[in-house]
Amino acid sequence: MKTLIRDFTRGLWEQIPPFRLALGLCPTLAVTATLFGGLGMGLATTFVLVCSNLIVSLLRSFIHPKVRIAVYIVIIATFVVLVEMVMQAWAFPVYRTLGIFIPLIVVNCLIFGRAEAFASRQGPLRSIADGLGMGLGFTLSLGLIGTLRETLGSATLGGIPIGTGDFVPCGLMAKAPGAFITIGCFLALMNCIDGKKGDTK
Amino acid sequence: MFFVLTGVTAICALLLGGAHELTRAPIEMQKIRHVKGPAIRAALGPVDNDPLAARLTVNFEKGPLTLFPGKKRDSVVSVAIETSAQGYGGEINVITAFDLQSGVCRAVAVSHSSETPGIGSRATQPQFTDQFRRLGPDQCAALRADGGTIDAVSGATVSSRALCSAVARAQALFTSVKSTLAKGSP
Repeated sequence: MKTLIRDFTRGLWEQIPPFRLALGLCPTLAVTATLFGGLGMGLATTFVLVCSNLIVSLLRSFIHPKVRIAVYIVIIATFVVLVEMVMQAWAFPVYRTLGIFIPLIVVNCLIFGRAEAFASRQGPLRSIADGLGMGLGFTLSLGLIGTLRETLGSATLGGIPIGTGDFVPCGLMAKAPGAFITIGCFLALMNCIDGKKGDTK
Repeated sequence: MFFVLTGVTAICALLLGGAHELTRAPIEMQKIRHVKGPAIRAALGPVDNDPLAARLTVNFEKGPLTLFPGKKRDSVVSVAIETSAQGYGGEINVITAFDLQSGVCRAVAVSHSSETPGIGSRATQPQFTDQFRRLGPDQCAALRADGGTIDAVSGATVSSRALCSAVARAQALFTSVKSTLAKGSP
């Protein structure tokens, strides 16, 4: 049980993607201009990550190392297409915001990295815990970046206008460089907190 | 090695096939609601019913055609038809709404196009499409250069002509379904 919790929480702070585990930066830059875009992407990635981790972990003793990449890609791609179809059928507005970045989850290094580095070596339960932790960490990060960028970049939150008339939104924050700046600031903040922790130890 | 890869691929293909069957109808519905819906409502103008829910399919020699009738006090007053034509950057889907009684074109709205932004896309804007308003049943939608009454957008002749041909096709379709709609209004 302790290992499970450890596997789960690792993705939430210690190796939180995309800050600490700098994987999956491409969708991060692209879809976090709005809060819902970020959350939708995060949840879709979480689903794919948990499912692919589980299947890869279950099949890990059958998969020959020579074809493992091909098998992983087939498994990941299947879940991505599933997500795409489900989103199109029941969450069309979110699907339209995310557009091409849903199919591109297939090549998100985060998912592939976890399959290769974790799920192919550990049991199914630990792999699910790892996938959930990493996925929720990713969702949390994208949500945070999305909140900040949407507020500063377009003066709305979740599509609803906020702020008073005097506030002029900063267009840079709505563009890709804004995402880099936000990620950098968050990373600095995290390092600052960790540094303080180290002092007290 | 081969068996595992083949097996995994086969199972995945089966799974996706099933999911595709399950989601096909809802996806179709969502596309109609979110993509075509706004264009259809804009073209039909104020009506009492939900034209999307009231849509009906008529069988043609060229295949099935979906019509979106607009009702006022429970009788069909107008109908929207979707047609498409080849534009400069690909297919242009056009919704044309007709007044059922007179056969006059009420409005034209573009539901999907991939024309060059700023050039061909101007032919999908109301400044251009409003010219089709009040086009009578005996007037064929055609550019002035082709003997019609529509002024082309300069620099976007291909897109303008594509819109004209889509509307002309809708006019022809409307003429052939008009009688069925008028007598058997559901």
